[in-house]
Amino acid sequence: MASPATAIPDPSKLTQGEAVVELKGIRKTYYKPDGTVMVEALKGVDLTIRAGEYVAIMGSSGSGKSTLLNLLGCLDQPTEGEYLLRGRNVEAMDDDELSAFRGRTIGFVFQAFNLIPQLTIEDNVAVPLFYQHVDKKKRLERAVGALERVGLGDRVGHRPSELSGGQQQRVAIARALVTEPVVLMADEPTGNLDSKTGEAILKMIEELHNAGLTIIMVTHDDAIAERCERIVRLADGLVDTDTQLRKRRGDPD
Amino acid sequence: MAMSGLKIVARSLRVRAVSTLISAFSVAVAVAMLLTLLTLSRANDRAFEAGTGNADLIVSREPSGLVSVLNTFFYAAAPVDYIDWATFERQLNSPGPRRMPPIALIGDTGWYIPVAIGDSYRGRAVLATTPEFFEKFKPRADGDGWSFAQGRPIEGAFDLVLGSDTARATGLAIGEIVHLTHGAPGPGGQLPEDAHVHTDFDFRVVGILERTGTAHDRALFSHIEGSWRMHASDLGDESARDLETPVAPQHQKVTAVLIKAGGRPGSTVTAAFAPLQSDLTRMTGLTIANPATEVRRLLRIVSNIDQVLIAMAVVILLSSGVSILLSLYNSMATRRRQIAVLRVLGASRKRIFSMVIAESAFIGLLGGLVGVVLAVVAGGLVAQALWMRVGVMLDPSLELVPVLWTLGGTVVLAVLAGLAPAAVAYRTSVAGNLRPLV
Repeated sequence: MASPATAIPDPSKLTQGEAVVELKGIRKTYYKPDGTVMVEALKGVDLTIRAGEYVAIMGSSGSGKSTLLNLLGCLDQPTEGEYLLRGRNVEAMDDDELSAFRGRTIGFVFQAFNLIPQLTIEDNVAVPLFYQHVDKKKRLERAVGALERVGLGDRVGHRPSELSGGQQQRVAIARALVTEPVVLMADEPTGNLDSKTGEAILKMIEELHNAGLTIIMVTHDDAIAERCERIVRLADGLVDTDTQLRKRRGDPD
Repeated sequence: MAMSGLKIVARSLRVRAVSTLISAFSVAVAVAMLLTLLTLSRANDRAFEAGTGNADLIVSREPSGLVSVLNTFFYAAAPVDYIDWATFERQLNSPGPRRMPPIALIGDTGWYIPVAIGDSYRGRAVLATTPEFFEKFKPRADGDGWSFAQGRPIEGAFDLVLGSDTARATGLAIGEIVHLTHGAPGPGGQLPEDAHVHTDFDFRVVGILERTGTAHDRALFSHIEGSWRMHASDLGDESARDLETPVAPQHQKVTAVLIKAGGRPGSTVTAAFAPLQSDLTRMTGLTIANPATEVRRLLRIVSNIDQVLIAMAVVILLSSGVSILLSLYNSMATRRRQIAVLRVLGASRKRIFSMVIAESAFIGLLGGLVGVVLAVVAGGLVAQALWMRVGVMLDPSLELVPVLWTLGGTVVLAVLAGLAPAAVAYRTSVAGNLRPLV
């Protein structure tokens, strides 16, 4: 398999140790239609993740980890608190700006792959570039390039349904990387895969991390979390523990 | 929108091909109906307006001017009563209320031509007239005079000229002999009970006309003298067979007289035929009408029905817009996930909104285009049916302007229909629709 290392964004864009995400006093409350509080999913979370980190977010169901990932990915707005993504306050941006900024900054990988079944895999990978107004020829070049990097160069022209689960997740990774994002957010990326293909996907993610990409991964699997550098455990809408398992890559010894 | 955006739209329409096609088809039917009605109603008006030719007045003994116009110019039925030609000519030359004969109002540049309808050949009406009919009468108000594809106009008493469609349908050629049937066919081509074939009078085909686009194309034209002699002989007047003897005045019957009022130099035609009409009405007691006025009267009646039909077509078009709306609206439930994915990949809410609008507009455009094709086919079929049954020749070809208006209107309607589903798509929550798994 070709090394995915070449997919990493230009390091000059980032300073090692720069805060990529900064959450300050984030609360998220869901309301019933009648206006009464349904659930307080996050009750005041402070969290900073720096460039190049490899962080696992864990927690039992109902702990708020899904809500946290949605907020981190700018897929939802906090009820209270401040979120800085690469130093920019996401709440100050309108939908157009935020969509563009999120597209450039974050790559997403989901448990359910979320590929568009009607499009070929290279068209799937090219979709984020379309929304960044990259012209058609470049789009396709970069999409095919990204597929080659995840070892699927020979499957160009196929539909997602013609690929195995592991291959589909690699397409999803290629799609996440094609925009050269700063952060990769992975939501249970191996949840739908058998252990062997899951392991291959994890290896790929680790290689990306080794090449400098910031990784935030939601998982419920202790064994997977143990492979990260840092584990943030949520409980009842708050950060319960925040453990640095090993020193950050690139930090001085 | 760039290619990949269109690709997503196109693919997503294809996934829902059945509902897309049903929506587009309902649009197509409505568009086809609307265009067919618009086109045919205009073509119908034009055909009727042009179909009376350049005659200013029609004189008959019909119960009304409209009936005489329909019977004489459109061969709707055989006239029930006739005019005594000799008497009429005498009246024309007698001093009228203006102390001058009506013929003076016709003047040197005008004309009057007798016609008699009542015989037929293979279900097609025969119009008996004089050679002047081919010189002076123009079959289309908006066109040139007659022109002959083959042969020449009538000269002799038993000459016969064929309308273009008659020639095509009967296959008759110049020089062939035919026998006419007594009695003119009704609108369905059926003959009256007392129909019989005049086998003892040979009519010879001497000319075939070019197409005029009027009901005359379906007729045959004979010399009125031959018609008079034939019917006189039917009534037992054997002398009528002798072409050297003039036809006795009591056998000179016509069903209508066409008049062009020349007027005095310097006066307008309108000014000329109005006094002529009033003088002749007073002097003869016959039905005297201006064909253009009668046709306008007819079209006024018909246009009310047209408007009702067109309004119905518009309602059907609106309901097809509702069908687009429902189809897209229903599809939103199953597409939340895909919309959420596109949003995650960088699509803004506006993009998602315009994607749904584009889908809707595409359905409208597809339906509209198919509708135009259907309208062409339907227009042709309806025109052919009208031609066969009524003898009114319609030009079913679509006009660009109404087609463009209808297509534009359809797309606008489709865009409006897409607004509600697009709003749903716009509001689709990203976070809430990514997770639901397997």
